[in-house]
Amino acid sequence: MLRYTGKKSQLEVVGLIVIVILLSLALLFYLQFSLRKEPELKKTYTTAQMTNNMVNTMLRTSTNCNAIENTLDVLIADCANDPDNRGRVECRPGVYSCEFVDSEIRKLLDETLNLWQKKYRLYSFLIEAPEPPIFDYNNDIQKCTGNIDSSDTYTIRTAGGLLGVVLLEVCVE
Amino acid sequence: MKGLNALAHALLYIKMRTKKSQLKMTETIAILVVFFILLLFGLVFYGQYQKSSLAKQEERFFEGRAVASSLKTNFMQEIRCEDEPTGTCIDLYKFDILKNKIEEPGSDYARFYSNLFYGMKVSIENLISDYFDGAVLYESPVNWTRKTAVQTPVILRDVTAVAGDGTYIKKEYFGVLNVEIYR
Repeated sequence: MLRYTGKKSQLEVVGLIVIVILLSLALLFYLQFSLRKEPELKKTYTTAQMTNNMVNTMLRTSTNCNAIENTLDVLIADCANDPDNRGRVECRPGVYSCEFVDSEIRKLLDETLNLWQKKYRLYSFLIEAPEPPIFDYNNDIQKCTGNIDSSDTYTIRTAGGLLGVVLLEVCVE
Repeated sequence: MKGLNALAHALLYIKMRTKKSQLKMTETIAILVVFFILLLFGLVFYGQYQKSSLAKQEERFFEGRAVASSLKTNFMQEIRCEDEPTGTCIDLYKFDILKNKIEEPGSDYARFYSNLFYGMKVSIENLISDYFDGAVLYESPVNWTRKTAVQTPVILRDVTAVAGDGTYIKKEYFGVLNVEIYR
C-alpha cells in the first residue's frame, strides 16, 4: 500500500515538473520575441541622411556676412586662420568671423538637431593643431545609449595653408 | 441472518465504490477545468501577441513608406540641382516652376503629381536666411489620423540672385526638405 502511494506521488511530481518546464519554455519564447529590438528603418535612414547632408549644407550656406565670399566654410577657415583676433573678416561692425560663425551655427543647430531632440557633437579642428578646436558643440553625445553615426570628413583650408576638418556625430536611439 | 449480513456488506462495498468513483470524477473535472483555463490563457496570450505583432508590422510598413517617399522626393530630377549629388540640393528655380505646374487645376501635371504624392505633404523650409521662409510643393487633401515626417537638411540653391553689379550669382541657403506622410 505504502509502495503504491509512493509511486503515485512520484508520478505527480513528474507531472508538476513537466508543467513547470512547459511554462518556462512559454515564458522564454515570449521574452525572446518581446525583448528583441528590431532596427527602426526610419530612424536609421534619417540619421544617416541627416549627418552627411547637415555638414555639407551647413558649410555651403551663404550668410549675411559682409564679405565677398560669405559661405560658412570660408568664414570658418578665416576664423581658424586667426583665432586670437576672432578672425580677420569683419562681418558686421565689430563682429568678426569667429563670433559670426558661432552665432550662425548655434542658430542652425537650434532649428534642426536641437529641435529634433538629437544627441550630437559637431566639431572642427585644424589637423596640424587639433587643440583648441575651432568649434565644438556637444549636446549630450556621451549619454548616447545607441549607435553613433558619423558624417563624412569635410575639409576646410585656411588662407595660411592649414587644413581643418569638420565632423558631426549623431546618436541613433 | 447470514444472508442479511452478506447483503449489508455488499451495499457498503457498493457505497464505498460509488464514493471513490465520485471523488475520481471530481478530480478529473478539476483537471479538465485547469487544463481549459490554461488553454484559454494561452489563446488570450497568443491573440495579444498576434495583435501587437500586426501593429508592429503596420508601423514598419508605414515607416517604410515614409522612407521611400522621402527618397523619391529627394531624388526627383524635376527639382534637384544638376551638378550636385542626388538628395543634397534643391534648385529653387526648378522648384518654383514645378509648384506652379502642379497648381494648374485639371492639368496633366496636377494629375500626375497628385498620384505620385498621394497622402503626402512636401515642403521646404529656409532656416537661417531671411531670403524666404519656405514653400509647399504639394499637400494631399486627405483625412488623416496619423502622420510621420522625414526631415532632411538640403542646400536650397537660388540661381537667380542678382549681385550688386546686376549680374546673376548663385546663392545657397540652409534648408530642410520636409516630407510628411499621412495615414
